[in-house]
Amino acid sequence: MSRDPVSGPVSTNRPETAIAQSRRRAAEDSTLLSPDREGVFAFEEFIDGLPFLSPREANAMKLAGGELFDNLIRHASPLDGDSIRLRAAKRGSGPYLAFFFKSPRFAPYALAHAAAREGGQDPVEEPFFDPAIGRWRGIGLLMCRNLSSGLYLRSGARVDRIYISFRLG
Amino acid sequence: MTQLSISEKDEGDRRTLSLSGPVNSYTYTELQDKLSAALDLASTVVVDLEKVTNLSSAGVGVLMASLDDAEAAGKRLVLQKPSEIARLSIEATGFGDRFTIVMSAREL
Repeated sequence: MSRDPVSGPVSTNRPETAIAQSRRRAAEDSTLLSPDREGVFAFEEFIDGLPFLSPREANAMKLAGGELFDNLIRHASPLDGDSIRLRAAKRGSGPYLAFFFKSPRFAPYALAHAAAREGGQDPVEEPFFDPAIGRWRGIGLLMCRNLSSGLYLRSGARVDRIYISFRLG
Repeated sequence: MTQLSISEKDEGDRRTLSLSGPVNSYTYTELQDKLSAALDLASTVVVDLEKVTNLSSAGVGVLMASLDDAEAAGKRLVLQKPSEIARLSIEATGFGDRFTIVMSAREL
């Protein structure tokens, strides 16, 4: 509050901008996950307990985020540090998950796959049955693609981050 | 719920597997084993998904492989009353049209 020399106290409160409103309304929560079986179940319980998600948003997050977390367990270990920090949030544009970790392996692995995809050599681009292991492969990637609205990895000197966003539902 | 439980019920030549809990990368092998045994014994296998709390790609892969096995053997694999997340998972793979999905045993 400031003082106008003529009329006295003047409110300096300005109308809240859309960005500020969006930030105020933002809902988020975070947790630490171990990269193992317990972590997978803890991930599912964490998503189930987020009060700001609609059932469909929570289901999409659990499915696509779970595939991503599985990939981190398989391809990012050993991690620098014992856990993966997970943040779930919902903004005006939609909900998202962010995984924070540090791994010397994951970014090179992801980049190699991206390069192979661009070159048309990625064998797991479309789902197929792999008789060598008796399982279907590539289904998780397809689920992530169809359930999320955006996915990106940013590898840094101190931390690697993966963001996966979803449509409002 | 951190464990998958699977109960089995036989009616004539039909075996129903009722799942409860998550089918994820750490529980799918139990489903795989029970489905394989069921397809050896019964001509129709029903997988009740009403109480499934997660159906990861590993779980969808097991259902797909079992459907392939059933069709090759001239048998039926039917999904019953999928939960919202099970339905979303199957739809997200684009394989929904391959499965026979019923809402109750009366539709069999």
